[in-house]
Amino acid sequence: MLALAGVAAAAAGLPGCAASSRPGAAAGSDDTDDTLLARAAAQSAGELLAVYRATARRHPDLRPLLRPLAEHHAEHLAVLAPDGPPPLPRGTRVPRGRTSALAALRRRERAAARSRQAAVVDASSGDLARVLAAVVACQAQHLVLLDGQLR
Amino acid sequence: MSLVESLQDALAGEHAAVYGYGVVGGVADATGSVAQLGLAAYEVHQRRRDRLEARLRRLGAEPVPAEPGYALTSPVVTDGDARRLARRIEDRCAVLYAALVAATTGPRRREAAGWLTDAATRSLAWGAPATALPGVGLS
Repeated sequence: MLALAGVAAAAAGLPGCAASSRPGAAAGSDDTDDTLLARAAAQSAGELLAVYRATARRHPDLRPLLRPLAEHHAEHLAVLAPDGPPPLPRGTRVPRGRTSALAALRRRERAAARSRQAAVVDASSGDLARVLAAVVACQAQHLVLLDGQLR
Repeated sequence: MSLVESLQDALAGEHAAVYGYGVVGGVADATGSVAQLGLAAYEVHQRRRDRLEARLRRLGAEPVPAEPGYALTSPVVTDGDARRLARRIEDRCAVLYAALVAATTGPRRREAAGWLTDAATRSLAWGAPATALPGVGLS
């Protein structure tokens, strides 16, 4: 974990981290764009983390399924925003029904994965792209697990 | 790592994967889920091997050949052994695909990212737990 924390941020040239190590990279618009991509991914991970936690609170029987998945989003957050996560959203609404709650989680996870998929290709830094692609792969695993409960 | 190096590493991984899934297929009961999953994965890795070879040739590089054989870390006798081997294959390929993502751009990068996602979900199907950053060397 520690070895990786900050890789994405450093690649994206986030404040407080080493400047981009890309050969020949000048501090310019590419770095700025990557910073924005990393920040958007961190924001998304924070939102998902909040939704997973809220859903687990509302539906205790889903906790064994949801806890490890929430933990993954917390790890994404740690890698994408090592200097501190963005403020987590509060007051997330969770459907009362178990199936509706799972379906709502699935929709959010899927939408987030699609945005990250686009970001993988948009990233200037290969290191950032690699981390974002891993986040997408993790989210695909989550979708399989959520689907398994919805079937 | 250069593009050609990443492609060669991925190709070497596909050679090993095709060999490994051959072992998986040899163990499995022909009608079982291990056989079905194994055959599908075998074909996927064969196709990727062929694509990587073609790309390396277009780049003017000589594709790395398959080894005559690959050492298995433990005997593969039961379906459980086969599942463990298959998980290991996908997890190792995931690392190579992640490196390929970093080394490519545009549609090629999108393809490599798709392979990474595929390896992650295949590993899950073989019984591995979900992980936070498949292919990026954690957990």
